[in-house]
Amino acid sequence: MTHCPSAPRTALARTPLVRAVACGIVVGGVGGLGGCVPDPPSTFQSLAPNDRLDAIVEASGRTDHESLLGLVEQLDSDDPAARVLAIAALRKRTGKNFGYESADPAWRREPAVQQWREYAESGAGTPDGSAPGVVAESDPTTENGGGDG
Amino acid sequence: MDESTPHIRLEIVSNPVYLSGARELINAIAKRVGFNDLECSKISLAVDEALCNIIRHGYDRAPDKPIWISIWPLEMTPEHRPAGGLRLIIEDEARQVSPEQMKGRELDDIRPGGLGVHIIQEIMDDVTYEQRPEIGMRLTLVKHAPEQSEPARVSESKPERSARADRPQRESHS
Repeated sequence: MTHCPSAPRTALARTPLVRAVACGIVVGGVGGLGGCVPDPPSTFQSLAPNDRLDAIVEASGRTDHESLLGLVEQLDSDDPAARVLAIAALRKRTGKNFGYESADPAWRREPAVQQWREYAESGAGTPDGSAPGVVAESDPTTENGGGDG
Repeated sequence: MDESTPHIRLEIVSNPVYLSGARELINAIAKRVGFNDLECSKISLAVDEALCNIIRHGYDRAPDKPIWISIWPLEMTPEHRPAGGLRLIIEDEARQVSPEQMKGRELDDIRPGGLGVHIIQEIMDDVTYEQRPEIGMRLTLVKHAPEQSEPARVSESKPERSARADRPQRESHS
């Protein structure tokens, strides 16, 4: 997928063929001075809210430590939609919740977010049970009442 | 005062700049009606999500379209103090959609879309979308105050969600 600012932004323009043709016209029309550049990948740090949501969706289907940490950080997002989607993704990946409620204000979310951070940093929730450079000893959720899903 | 007359009616244009002011107003009113800080914050969030949905999807981010927020307390005490909870009606002149399309969804399917409606429904006791007679949509939100709370009381307790089932449905004003 490429992003061409000058290309039409209609639903039709979302199809690769149409966008490619449109980009070609634009590039040809300006003598090659402009052009289409690859869309940056959606990441948790993307400026566009929709890109961050896409990153959460992608992370929901992964099992690596980095994406788990990214999802946990989204629990503290200013964007309520990101928080809703992040906790849904984390529940799907781990079966745990730690009492987190996405509609709570920040001061109320903080204890649950902290439990999530400790859980992720311990290496739990990843296939080999350990974060890079961390030796996992036990699942902390068995000791703090987590896992209420 | 006619019962159908809102106790407060706010008109704003669909510019996100004014969302924080609307949130603060709702927060302050909710506190006066008897909600604790946590519930005030959540009610403000629900209204904010509703307004964002109108601006983003109803008006396609046009910043100069009208939005009306009407507010009633659910009850008045003999001392003429608002109590019992809040009813809010948010109206616009945006593109009409079927109320069926405005249903929330379960989050088993991890994808964007419908999250704002989900948040609103999680927070409020009653959520009703309607088409206005000629143009625009009307969203009615009802939130019942906890039984034992007093105005401006600060508490972390969350009202029982099951309480909504025990209460009679109130007619929405139009």
